[in-house]
Amino acid sequence: MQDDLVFRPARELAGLVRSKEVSPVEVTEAFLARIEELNPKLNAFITVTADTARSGAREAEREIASGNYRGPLHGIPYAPKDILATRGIRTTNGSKVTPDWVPNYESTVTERLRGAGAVLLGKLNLLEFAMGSGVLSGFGPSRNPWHLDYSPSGSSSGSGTALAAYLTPLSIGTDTGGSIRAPAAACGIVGLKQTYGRVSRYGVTTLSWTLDHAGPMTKTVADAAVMLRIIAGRDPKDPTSSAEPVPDYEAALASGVERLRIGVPSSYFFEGANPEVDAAVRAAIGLLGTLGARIVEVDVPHAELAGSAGWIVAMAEASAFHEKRLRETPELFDPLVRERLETAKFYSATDYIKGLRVRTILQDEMARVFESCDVMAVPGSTQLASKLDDEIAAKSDVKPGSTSPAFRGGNTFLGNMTGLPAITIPCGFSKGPPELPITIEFYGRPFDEATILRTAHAYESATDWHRRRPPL
Amino acid sequence: MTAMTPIRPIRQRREVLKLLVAGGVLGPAAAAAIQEDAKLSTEILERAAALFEAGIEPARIREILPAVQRNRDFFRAVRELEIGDEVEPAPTFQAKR
Repeated sequence: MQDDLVFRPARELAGLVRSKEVSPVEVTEAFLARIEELNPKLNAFITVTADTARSGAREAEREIASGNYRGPLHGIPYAPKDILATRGIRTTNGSKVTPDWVPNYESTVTERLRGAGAVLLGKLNLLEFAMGSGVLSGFGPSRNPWHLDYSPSGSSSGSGTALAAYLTPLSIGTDTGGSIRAPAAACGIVGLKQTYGRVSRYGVTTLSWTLDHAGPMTKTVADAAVMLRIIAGRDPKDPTSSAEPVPDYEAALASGVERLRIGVPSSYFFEGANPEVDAAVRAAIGLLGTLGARIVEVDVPHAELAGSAGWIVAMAEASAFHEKRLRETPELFDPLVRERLETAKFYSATDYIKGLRVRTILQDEMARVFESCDVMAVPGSTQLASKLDDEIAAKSDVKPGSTSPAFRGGNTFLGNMTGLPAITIPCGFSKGPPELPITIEFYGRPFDEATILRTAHAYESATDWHRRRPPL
Repeated sequence: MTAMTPIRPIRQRREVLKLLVAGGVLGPAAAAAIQEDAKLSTEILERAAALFEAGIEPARIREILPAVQRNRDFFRAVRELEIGDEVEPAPTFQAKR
């Protein structure tokens, strides 16, 4: 039974815990055992908080036994990206610049999860400060469970790895240009970047104040819905957080996609896609059509600028945020992070403002898109997971001998530039070898996470991609 | 929603100039100017670093030059985009529904 527990989604575990068929202690021990077995080769966790987890699980067990059940995360383990501050627990940001930082405050997201009774397993690896190489970041690369020579992408790399390898049932990632959705795509799990302001950024180390989001990374859409409901809502500690009412996302899941209009862009988002990705995503859209959705064509005329304009905004803000650390200890940074922060010093104020004006254009264009559809579907990533860089290639964005485009990014950066909610879920695997995940991404209207969750859940319920296990 | 004048498709000035040079409409001086405009040097970057007070040592400037050049090429589409006067910047998220 204990071995089997790690393969169950959080919602299923919650049912077992609530009915007292399984104790939170048993669940926690099952995950700790799997972490001990597999983390040495996957490097998903930077810190394992086994003692904290065990005491949290025992407390949950006592509370539930005495009839004080807090809800669907009570006694359920989780692990956040190690960029969310946890009071009294080392928070490294994946960096040798801050390797021993022990915050004296708690991020709002982890505070809310703790309040819901979730059990902290530890802190997960990431690309340094959410923008590094992974390979040369402070704690080395996480590895993709589908093939250990491959990258889990990032920057929430440890979250993608840990979920795909069943080291945790739930995680929190952060997303400034795609850092929740890109590892979700590379690792074949669920990544939700909700509307900007829906979830507090308090206690999340900044990459870009205006683009950062912290959101759920899970094995199933229903688990993402449960997690979002708990972490969402106004937070006085984050002035950009929204007072928009938080609906019951789980209740919305059962609505299906009948008569829902799904927009498929006629340009940009599929361009240059791996043929297997293109075919799988279009097949997924076709399946939604057979489930009752109406497929309509849409266009985002300036989508190709989302990546480049977003990069200017993100890196200009990051360079401002890290100014002091970069001046005092440049040699401690991942060489790629250092290069990105230093090159950003040569962007002009005009470049930055122009990036913000492109944001207006993209927001307007997406508002027009949602006049003719309810959800927009695009590939989660146009490419399959790539091999981990060697140490030379990892040092710079300028790859020797590479003829590939510098950076594309629009499929995900669009969500950060517009603030719109987006969810990435598995929709296939490449033929291989190695067999690697393929994903589809759904965009929705502002604060309408319920509709993208419902669409994703309808697709997931009709397929079994999310049940596949990597060959570990 | 901001009322916008049509935004021109991304047609870079440089591409138009290149076409004109290739078609013989513009001469070698224009071709040289395009080339010069496209390439950064360590000297240019050192002057820019001094102007911005970037605090980057000359040796380091030589190392990051290819990355700055790459970014410059990458951002050209944004820099050359013509945007209508009425399009204001969005400093942060605006819920447009």
